[in-house]
Amino acid sequence: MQRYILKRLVQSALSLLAVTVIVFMLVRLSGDPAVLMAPPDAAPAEIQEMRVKMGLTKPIYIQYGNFIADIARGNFGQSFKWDKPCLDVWMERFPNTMLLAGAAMFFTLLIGLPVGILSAVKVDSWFDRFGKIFALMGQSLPVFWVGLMLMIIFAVFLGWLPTSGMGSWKHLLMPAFTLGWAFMAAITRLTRSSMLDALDHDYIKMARIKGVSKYGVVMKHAFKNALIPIITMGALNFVFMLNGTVITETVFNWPGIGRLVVEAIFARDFPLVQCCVLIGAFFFIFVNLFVDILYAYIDPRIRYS
Amino acid sequence: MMNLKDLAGKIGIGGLLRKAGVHKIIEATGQVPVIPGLLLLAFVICAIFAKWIAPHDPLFNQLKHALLPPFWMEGGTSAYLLGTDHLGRDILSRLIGGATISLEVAFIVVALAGIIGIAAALLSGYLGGWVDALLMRICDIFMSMPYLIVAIVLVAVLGPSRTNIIITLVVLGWAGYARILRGEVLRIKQGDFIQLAVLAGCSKTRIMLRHIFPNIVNPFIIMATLQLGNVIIAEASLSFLGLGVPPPYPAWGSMAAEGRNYIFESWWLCVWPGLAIMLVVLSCNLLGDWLRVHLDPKFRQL
Amino acid sequence: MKKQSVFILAGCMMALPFVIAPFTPAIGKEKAKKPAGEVVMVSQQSTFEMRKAFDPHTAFGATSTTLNSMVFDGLVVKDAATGAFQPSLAESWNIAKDWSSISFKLRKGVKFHNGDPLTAKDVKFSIERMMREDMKNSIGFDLRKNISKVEIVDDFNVNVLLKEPNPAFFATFLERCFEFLAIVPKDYVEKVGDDGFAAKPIGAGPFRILKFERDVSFDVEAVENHHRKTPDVKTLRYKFVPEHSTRLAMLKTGEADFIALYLTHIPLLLKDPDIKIVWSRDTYCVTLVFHDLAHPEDSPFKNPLVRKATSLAIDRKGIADVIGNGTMEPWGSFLAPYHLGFDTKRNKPDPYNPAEAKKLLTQAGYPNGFDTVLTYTSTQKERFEAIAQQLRDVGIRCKMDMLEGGTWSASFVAGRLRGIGFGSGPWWSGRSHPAGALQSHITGIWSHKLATPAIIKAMEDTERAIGNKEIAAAAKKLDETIIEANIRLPLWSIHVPFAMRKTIESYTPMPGFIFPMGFESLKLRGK
Repeated sequence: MQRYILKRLVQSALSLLAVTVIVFMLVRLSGDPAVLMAPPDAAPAEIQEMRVKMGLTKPIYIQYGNFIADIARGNFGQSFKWDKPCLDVWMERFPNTMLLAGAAMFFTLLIGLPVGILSAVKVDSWFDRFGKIFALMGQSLPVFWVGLMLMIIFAVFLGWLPTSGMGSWKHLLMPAFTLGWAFMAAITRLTRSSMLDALDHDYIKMARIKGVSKYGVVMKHAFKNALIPIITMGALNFVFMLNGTVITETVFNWPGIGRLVVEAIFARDFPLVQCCVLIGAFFFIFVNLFVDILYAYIDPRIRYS
Repeated sequence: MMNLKDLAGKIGIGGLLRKAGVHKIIEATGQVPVIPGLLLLAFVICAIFAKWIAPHDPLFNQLKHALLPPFWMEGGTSAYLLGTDHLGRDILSRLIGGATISLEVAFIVVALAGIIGIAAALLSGYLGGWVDALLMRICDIFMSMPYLIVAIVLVAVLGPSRTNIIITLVVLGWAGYARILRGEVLRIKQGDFIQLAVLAGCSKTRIMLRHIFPNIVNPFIIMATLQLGNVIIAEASLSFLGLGVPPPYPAWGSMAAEGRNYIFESWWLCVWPGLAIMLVVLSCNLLGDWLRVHLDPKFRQL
Repeated sequence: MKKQSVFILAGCMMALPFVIAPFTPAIGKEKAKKPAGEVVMVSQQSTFEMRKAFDPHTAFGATSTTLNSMVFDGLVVKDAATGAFQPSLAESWNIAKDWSSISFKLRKGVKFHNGDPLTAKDVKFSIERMMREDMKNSIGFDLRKNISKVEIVDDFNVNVLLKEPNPAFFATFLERCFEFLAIVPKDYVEKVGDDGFAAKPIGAGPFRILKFERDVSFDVEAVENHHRKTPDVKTLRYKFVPEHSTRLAMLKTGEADFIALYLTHIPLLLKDPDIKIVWSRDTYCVTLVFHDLAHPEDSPFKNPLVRKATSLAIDRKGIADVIGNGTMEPWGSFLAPYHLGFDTKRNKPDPYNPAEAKKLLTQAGYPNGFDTVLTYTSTQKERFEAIAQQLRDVGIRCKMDMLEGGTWSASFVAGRLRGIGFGSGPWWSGRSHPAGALQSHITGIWSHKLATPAIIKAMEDTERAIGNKEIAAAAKKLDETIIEANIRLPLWSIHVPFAMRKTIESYTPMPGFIFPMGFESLKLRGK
């Protein structure tokens, strides 16, 4: 077991290192922050001076070496635009995104789970059909489209909810639903197939024969077993949400990580982009690793496949 | 039904088709989700014959006809059934022309990502060992990068052209196929017929291509159907940030993203492409779900 | 047992956001009704382009002016109606005849927000602080290059001495005194240090800062008995909202009183009796740049006839009428109306004449047209899509190359673009001196080094001119020279609209400024 964990840890660290190389090269190919930060009437010499100050004139391998050395010391670099350690900037925004993603997950599960269970148990009932289409619609519409439509209906015409920004729980409803809806179909699908799997087991059939009520079988026995893959997937989706809220955040003016990164990219704030992508990748790899190790712990056969 | 099967046999793809479970599709015609199927078919026909179907040139702007409403509204004309956009281009024609662009992008991305993914899955799953370890770690790298963020960086670096958007979406998409299909390959590898093939002295290449590949076509088709929709949505997301398929090509995502600035008054600019996206992606998803249930009930990893 | 531990762990992960929620700073009680005298304004521009929020001397973009102008005061200020310089912290100023220095006479009795009186030492300190290299602001380089020292004559007189006489410096210096050069209290800054100052900035502007959250929002409060003008507004809350439709929704629901308006929303609001639209006119000029001129390879655009044909092929008025909604005015000059030397009679854009354009192309040896590239940014999409078709109609077939803003500007400055393309300027941005306004796009880094010797000479003459009459004459000559050389085509002058609800009675935007400023002049209804 320890060997397995150790091996996976080393592999994950190597993956992360590769991500740093890719991101580092990509952002540096994409433009010149000095031009973007200089005033329009700057002289060429001034722009050159800014490049020197940002450390962009050194050979790229030295820049990369410094970057890695800094990370090893826990320093993710200084944002060009904010003049603050990138990690601090990230930390300021992270709770906002976490809140949005959490509330979105709540909506996803609130609708995704019951629809998934029911469509496994009672195939082709009206609830199954309606629920499935509803969940699928969230995946089938561009997020900005849903967001704007919701805003127009609930904020402008009905006036029930505030249009955008952070504040009370009312501000949270629309962005969370918009984001959660997009992930609903995946959870529904998985719940359904996990439930089918679970219902297929002999002991479930035994329970039915022994006279346990249908509700009891579904909820107590099958659902419990189906929950593990759902939670796994839920955790991965949650990480996706943490990284993928750019559009929801822009439409609803939610000050989270997504907008931070997009603005960093548009301003070519290399250190901040690197930091955010790296942390995002770290989360993903970490959650994956965690899930894999858990599985290996529960079912040792997995380790060898 | 028999005729179709015979035909398939005659042109020599019967074996593949049977392994792919196409006969099951044919047998189950009664349960085919008719509406999504027809819708998708209609859109594909539109996409292929766009030039002949579209009533106007989708790229031609007539400034004096800008922002005409759909025909049933006051000020609308039957010449422009669904209205015109801000440069006086016919929205219906743009939707039809956009079907070409959007579906083309979606199909190419899914096909390319699928081919790379299948190849990686076969190599990694069947050969195992260091090949497996290496390929899966590469998969990890590509899957772990925040999707939209890396897409933005890539498109910003490469410049938003159709080819570059396809490249970006393939780069970010292939790993998903490889991951899941590898699992399938591992499962199939345990099957008796593979052991027999090994005993019979088949080469590794032959086993991979002739014995394993046909068995992962099913899961691939299911994944691909579901992914088609996701690619269209991803293109729309990039358009929202100003990085979508560039003009003059009217991809649906770009149309909806551009139209959103007119949504309060000229709603038709944004609503029609949004509906088109929804119908196609919904159809893809319904079809994919249905395929999944009927082709391969055991394939649950999505 | 194993399974249960999985549940517990996973459950904890899921519950985490809900545990965190109460601790996030922004989740609080919903605010009750807006108090009287409060104005909420929303703009697509983040006003936090300061490296260290919120230290005005670390500003690097043009967009920090909104905030700068509220909380801090400069030596001079611009009149919102005319755009002329008015005394603010300086009562008067005087540029030496030999272009070697400028002297300021300070206003007496001015107090900073913390009560410190303004004296010459604060001015010297502020200018020198602005020049500090570690401030990394956008004008420090120019100041360091030119200023030799700031001299205190007495408590209320300051001289700024240059290293050598340089008329070009003064073409922009007053502008910068207004936009960037915030005067800060020396004693306070020295006491609290740079970081302390950035955390709790003190200025002499008409508003005092209450709170700010970078790239999100800031709140300011009016200063009582301000030396220039006590604002009508009590508190002003500024929010940064990049999505155009979201801003409009906020205006419609009353969440915002004042928004930066997107051009597609103008017709809708013109019909709304509760909303008034005000304009900041002539902010910048959209031009068409002939990138090929800067490269040695042969190109059709090296032929002046082709350049003329290009100009005739573009229907400036047609495009402006359809997609401009009043934001685009066909333009034929490189000067804005507020510049000396501007002449309405000379501001005649080429007429739309595709037949003549075709004839010129045939004359130039391209009867069947030719292929080229048209580059532009995603924000210019509509305009340049329309242009591309009109050029195609006469035979200039453009491959459309849309670039992301950052990629475009880097490629532009590095000279990597070919064919023709969007030119983002001259950025007049309210600059009153014609040379200062044209410098960057005609001879500076955004010029593609296309300026001919005649243009460079005309530019120098304009910089050197003393007195309004001379400046006007030189600017007129400069404008004519640029148009004659035809290195870039002026297309439209861009007016920027703002929309406000009826709660605001009047507000005059600063002419030429893209970002709203000068809120001390904003009048509330019923006051």
